[in-house]
Amino acid sequence: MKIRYAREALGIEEDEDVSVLIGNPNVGKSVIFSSLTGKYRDVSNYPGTTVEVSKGKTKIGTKRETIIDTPGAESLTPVSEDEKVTRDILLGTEPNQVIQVADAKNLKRSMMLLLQIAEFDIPMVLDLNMMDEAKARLVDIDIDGLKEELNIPIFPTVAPERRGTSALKRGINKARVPDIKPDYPDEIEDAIDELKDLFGSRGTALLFLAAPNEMKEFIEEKMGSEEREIAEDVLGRLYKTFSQDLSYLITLSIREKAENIFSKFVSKKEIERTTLKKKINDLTMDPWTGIPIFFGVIFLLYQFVGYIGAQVIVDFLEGIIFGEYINPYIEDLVYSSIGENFVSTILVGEYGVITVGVTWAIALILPIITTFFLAFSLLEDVGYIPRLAAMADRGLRKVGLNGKAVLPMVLGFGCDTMATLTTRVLDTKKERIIGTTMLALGIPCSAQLGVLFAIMATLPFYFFFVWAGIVSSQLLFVAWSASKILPGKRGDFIIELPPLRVPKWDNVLKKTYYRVVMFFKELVPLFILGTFLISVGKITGVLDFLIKALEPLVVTWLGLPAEASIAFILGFLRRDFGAAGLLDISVRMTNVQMLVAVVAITLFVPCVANMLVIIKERGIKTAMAIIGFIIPFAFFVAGIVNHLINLFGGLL
Amino acid sequence: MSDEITQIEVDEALEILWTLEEEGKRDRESFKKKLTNKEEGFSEHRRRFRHGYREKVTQRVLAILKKRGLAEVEDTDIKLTNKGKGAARVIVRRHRLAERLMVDFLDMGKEDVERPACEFEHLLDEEVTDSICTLLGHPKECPHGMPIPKGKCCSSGKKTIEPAIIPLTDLQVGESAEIAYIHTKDHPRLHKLLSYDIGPGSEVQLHQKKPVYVIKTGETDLALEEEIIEDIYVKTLD
Ligand SMILES: Nc1nc2c(ncn2[C@@H]2O[C@H](COP(=O)(O)OP(=O)(O)OP(=O)(O)O)[C@@H](O)[C@H]2O)c(=O)[nH]1
Ligand SMILES: [Zn+2]
Ligand SMILES: [Zn+2]
Repeated sequence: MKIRYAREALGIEEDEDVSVLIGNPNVGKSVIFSSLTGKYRDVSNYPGTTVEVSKGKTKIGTKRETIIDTPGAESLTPVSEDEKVTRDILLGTEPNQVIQVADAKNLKRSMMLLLQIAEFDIPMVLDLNMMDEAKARLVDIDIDGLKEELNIPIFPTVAPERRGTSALKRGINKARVPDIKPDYPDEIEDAIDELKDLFGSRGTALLFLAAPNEMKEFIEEKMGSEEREIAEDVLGRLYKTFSQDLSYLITLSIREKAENIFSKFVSKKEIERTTLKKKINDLTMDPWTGIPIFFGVIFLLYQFVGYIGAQVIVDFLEGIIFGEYINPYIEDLVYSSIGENFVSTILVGEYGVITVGVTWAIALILPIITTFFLAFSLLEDVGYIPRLAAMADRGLRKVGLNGKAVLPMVLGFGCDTMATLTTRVLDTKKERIIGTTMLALGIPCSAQLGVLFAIMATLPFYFFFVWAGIVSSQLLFVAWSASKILPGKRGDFIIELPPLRVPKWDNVLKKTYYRVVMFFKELVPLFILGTFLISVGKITGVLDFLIKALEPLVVTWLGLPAEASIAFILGFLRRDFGAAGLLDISVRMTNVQMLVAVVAITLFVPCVANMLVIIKERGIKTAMAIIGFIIPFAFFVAGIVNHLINLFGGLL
Repeated sequence: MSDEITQIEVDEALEILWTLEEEGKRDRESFKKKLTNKEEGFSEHRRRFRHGYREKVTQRVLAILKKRGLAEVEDTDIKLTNKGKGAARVIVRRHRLAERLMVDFLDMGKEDVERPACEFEHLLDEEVTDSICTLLGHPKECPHGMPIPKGKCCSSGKKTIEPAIIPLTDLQVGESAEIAYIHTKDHPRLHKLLSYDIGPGSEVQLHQKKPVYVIKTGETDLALEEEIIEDIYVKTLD
């Protein structure tokens, strides 16, 4: 992400008057953004990243104003990708003013962020949001005193109730450059003085001192070799002076000042009643009640996404709407207009781009991602998501992940392809690889799960436990081994637990809508490309070749009938097709053969769309390594099951 | 080098007898082995205990202990007298407190502290020992899990004005404390903690330990994994 192109990247003209909304995570920026801009908004990924940025327009008096909502940031010295984007927008769009949104009950943290923004000499206004919660917790803020201290306009708001928001909107024009600075150690202060012209502002110079590596691109864009040398010299001098980390020293100074402001203008009346709200908050985290609540939420989430979304709605859309009405119509249309040839096979043949690919995207993926994001946005708005992650942390740590992985894993039971996209929320490369592998290896998506359950129903009931036991033990074993073998680290788990709130439905629906649109746009081409590749494989005979090539292995090592190899290749197109293929030939197989086949197909390759997502997200090399591991491993495990059972004949 | 037995060696002999008694041993053979075993990491002055000298040195040390009324020898058994116990207790206390100090504050490994602690124990006077004890929050065990003999400061522990420093993991649920320092070399982690206002001087309340640690700072509730909490040391407030 090139800093200089921030305006261009966000589609903003050079002469537009731009206000940037900045704030710590979860302070209510999105709600403020909505009330400032009204309906119109444009959500996009920041170029080169997966981070959402919203842009909107508004009119203040007669002046047109562009407003940008940035991702929540604790600090401008970036630790996360979100914070990087926020910093780049601040540096790159050269905003006319910054609107900082603060959580009134957590003013100290907001002050730390404010002190960093203040160094950029950009006019600011401060929005003290969540005044209702501050009041409920008996936090008292001397707003007039604070105004004077900071030298900027301050507006108290309660965003969801639109209290104070119109005053805030009118006040944007009154933004002023804040007049407040932390007391840095003298040597650092001198260094800032020397560097501020080189970097354009004190703030940028500070970002460089605190994390020079993070500012590489900026320096490369803006400085010649001579200037770079000066900067390096100043830095070298500081490294000699201080034994501690510079970013630590800078943060300490900022913190001290924030503390100072906080204690001067914020007071809290000591006695706080234990409210019902607080009790409910505690219940969700207490081990005795929190764990049952956790499993309850996971269960409901799965019921909603995996059952209602992925089965009820999908069956209706795919089976009836597309199966009985749309697809027959389109098939007729295509065949009657161009006849049976290469093109019509690609479009509406057995694996046609339209009859399979588009149907798949709209009838299958759309309901799954819609139900998922509806549930997710609701849980997010209520404030339960961080609690969900916290409760799952201990378990996931054992396999080299942390609590944040809970959502991708649960979502995997809905759709692995989609879930693989969401492994982006994981902090480190190592975690993303482990998560992706787990999803691809042993988490059956709901479509496949449905067929697997149908197969299980034809077998003695204890086969279900044998199957589940084998698959889950292999899954955990692989993840655990990967966490030991792969280099790199697991990300730290530190997460803020916001108070639980009553959901605001318009906020939930808006977020759901933008997310569905974004993910849908990303996924659809992959599904279409996937079916296209399969069609080409079919026409060129590659598919038949693969089926033939797989046969000996299927017959000798797995001890299955030769036709089973078709099911495995079909599973590559769509995981549930593979399982359905097994169901078709189940009459010709013994119970043990069915078990072996089901184990193999559960562990066997992810579907083609999932594979494309893995390539897209992890890169071709890692993707090949993951697939190259899974295919032999699935056959290995299933083969071992086959041979063990034969060895101890009649065991089952 | 003279064969004179120094005070330092007497101290160490007492320390050995104390640890042996903790293990339930009193025999002369174990004592001799420990006293003359270079591998245990004891300092320079043991180097001269070469083969032939071992028995001789043991005899000499025991003779001095007996003469000073610190230990009694009966057949193959050696027993600390009450006076000897008192003296040994002080030395063991210093040694184990020194170990705690080095492990908790100086980030040294448990395995690496034996030798320096040994040097340290001869340098501390009672006052310094008690201050260290208080600073560490009157710890009950050394890093190896052996009990630390109590000092004067420990019994008056609750009344001391100086706040005690303990790992945040040792705080009771519901208690508040002020962060003394964060012990990590991981800069991104430190930075992240600081931006949540978790840093020296911040007041935190431990809300729960299971299934995850939850702490409260200001009006923020944070869930953190144990690995991070273990890096945080606090002064208890009351
Ligand atoms: N009680 C109360 N809740 C608020 C207020 N403002 C926002 N919220 C709620 O706080 C939650 C977070 O709001 P968002 O607007 O998503 O926060 P954000 O700052 O955009 O969050 P990120 O950008 O994702 O870090 C939502 O559930 C809002 O409904 C307020 O003034 N009072
Ligand atoms: Zn010890
Ligand atoms: Zn003590």
